[in-house]
Amino acid sequence: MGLEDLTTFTEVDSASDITVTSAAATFATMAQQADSYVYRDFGSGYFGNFFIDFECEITFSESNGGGDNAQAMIAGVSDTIGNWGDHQTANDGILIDTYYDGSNLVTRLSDQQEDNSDTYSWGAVTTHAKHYFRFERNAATATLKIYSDADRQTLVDALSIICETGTKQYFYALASREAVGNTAEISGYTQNFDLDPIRPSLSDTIGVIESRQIALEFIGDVGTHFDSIGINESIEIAFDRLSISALQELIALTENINIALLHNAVISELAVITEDIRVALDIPLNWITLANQGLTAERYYFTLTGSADSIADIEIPISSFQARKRTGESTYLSVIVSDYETYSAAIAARSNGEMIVEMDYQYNGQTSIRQEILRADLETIDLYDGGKNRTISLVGHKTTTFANRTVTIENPTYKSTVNGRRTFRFAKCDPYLNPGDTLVVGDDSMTIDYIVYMVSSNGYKSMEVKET
Amino acid sequence: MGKATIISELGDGGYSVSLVYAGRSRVNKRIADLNVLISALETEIAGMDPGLTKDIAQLRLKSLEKQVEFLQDKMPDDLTMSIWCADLTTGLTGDVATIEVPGERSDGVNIKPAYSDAAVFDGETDGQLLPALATSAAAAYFNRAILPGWQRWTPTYRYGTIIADSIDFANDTCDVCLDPAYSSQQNLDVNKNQGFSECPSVTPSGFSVFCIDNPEHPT
Repeated sequence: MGLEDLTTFTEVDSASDITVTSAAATFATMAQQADSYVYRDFGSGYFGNFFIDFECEITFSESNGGGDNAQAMIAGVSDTIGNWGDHQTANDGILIDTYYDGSNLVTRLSDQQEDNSDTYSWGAVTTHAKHYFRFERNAATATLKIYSDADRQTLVDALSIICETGTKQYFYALASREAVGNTAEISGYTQNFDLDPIRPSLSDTIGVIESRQIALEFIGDVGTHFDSIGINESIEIAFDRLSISALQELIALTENINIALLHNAVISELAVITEDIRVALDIPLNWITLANQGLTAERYYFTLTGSADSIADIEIPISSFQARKRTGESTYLSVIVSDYETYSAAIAARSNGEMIVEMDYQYNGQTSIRQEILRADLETIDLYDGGKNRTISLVGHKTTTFANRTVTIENPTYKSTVNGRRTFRFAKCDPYLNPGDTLVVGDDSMTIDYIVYMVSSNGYKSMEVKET
Repeated sequence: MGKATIISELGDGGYSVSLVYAGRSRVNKRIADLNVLISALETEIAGMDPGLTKDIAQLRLKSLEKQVEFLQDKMPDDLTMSIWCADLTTGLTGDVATIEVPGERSDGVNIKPAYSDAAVFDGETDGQLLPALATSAAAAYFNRAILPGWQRWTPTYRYGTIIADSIDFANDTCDVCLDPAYSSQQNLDVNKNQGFSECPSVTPSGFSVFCIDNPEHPT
């Protein structure tokens, strides 16, 4: 796209502090009370994820104490027109500002809606030389990287915050603070805004080859050998603030373990290999393998939310639930609460709540994943008194639309084809499968119309998936 | 078969109507009954000491309140829609009978042919759309279960096209090819036959007038 021409931006300058050229917005002794800003309207919804380079230098800043501190917003995106204070009032915008607090010069990345911020202190100084900034948002994460060189190779600091996910319309090249009566001033410039810079490409391959040989030699005649050979291997691969638009293959990990016993021996246990591979992607992969090997235990959790009744959420033990999950249409959820005495008051207090069912695949007794699978608005509360048991039935509906993905599941217990439409039944629920997804089972592939869950604490579990 | 109230005439046999659902008074009566129970239970709870009995009574109160909320939220409003009279009769007013094709609103709604009786609604013969909420669970299930069978084997109204050169002006008959019709349930084909032969004209004036009124229609 090239550099932005700032002369096409709208300039509001209450105290005539700002000089705008095509490349730069220079501010000279801009007071905290000024109502000044330089922005451009890119149209509603323009800024979703973004990647912006720009430069900034602060040549002067001061503090008069009592909160009267020099401050300038040096970049930002928002749906609000105005200075930094206007954004703060509107709780809107992902903003970058630099201020002098009387002790240190600080640059801050903030999200006004989420009220999150991260800061970098330039130290006990009132100025900083020209630095090179990279301002980026990817979904709910906003980052600001500060480099000392034009090639953006020498990273000074990287700020990161959780931000809102809404799109934005306006881009700001500069704005004042506007705190009425405060006169602390700041000078400097912002320049060379590139809203779509060429991104560096990464094509390197990192290869690690490691070979260990362990040789034990014993000369003599041993009746029984009790020693054990323990080899612990730990491989940690961590990416810090990884930002890649298209990711094809992240990690290929190959491990070969060969055990060779020479000579004759009576072996009661050759080798025990325990592996726990965890890959922290959007969908963790480890549970798939482990679940299919029967190494996991499923747990289901029911939560009744309380926010609609101004009370905390509560997790309630349930004896069973049934559901029919749809996309774009009403999902039905019914749960049975057996502990009538304990939870009557809690349910009554959250009668406007949402019903949430989560499932957890546990491995080695620890949570491997815990994922929400069902959510509905509580609509019906029914009480059942029997001769031996009393239960509470909660029923609700909610319409949710899911993103469509392709999901592969193994080991169906049943398949039917009626009127050309296939149904698969599984003895385990899948935490990520949604209506609208493409389900792959062996050689079959089909689009899912709806999913029926039937899960009971007496051991019966099934997930039935119907074709569109 | 349903009931609609004419709101305004749009011209050429088109009308803006309010499709009137049956069962609203029944639902309102149910809500009134529940409110009586709620008032009585509130009084009872006010005199209770804190404890499990009171907790359960309060949960029962919430159960009743949720039922009222459910009935109020889910009973659909009468539907305002623009529809044609099946034989383009003009000048209709008041409550009229509607036809739903194919037995439900999925393909379309029309005011029934009105040339002889102005399509005046008759509760005895015309029926009325009833939301599932306003009936019992058993009745709702029964009706839903038999819907495709009823649509196919006891059909009421269908859309179709008069086959070119099939009109017998002497006897006022024609051949008709039906439009495809499928049930909302399992998308089942509910046309027993694809067409009918020697169908009588539905207008008293016969096909001569029909063709004069529809000059582009093949004779």
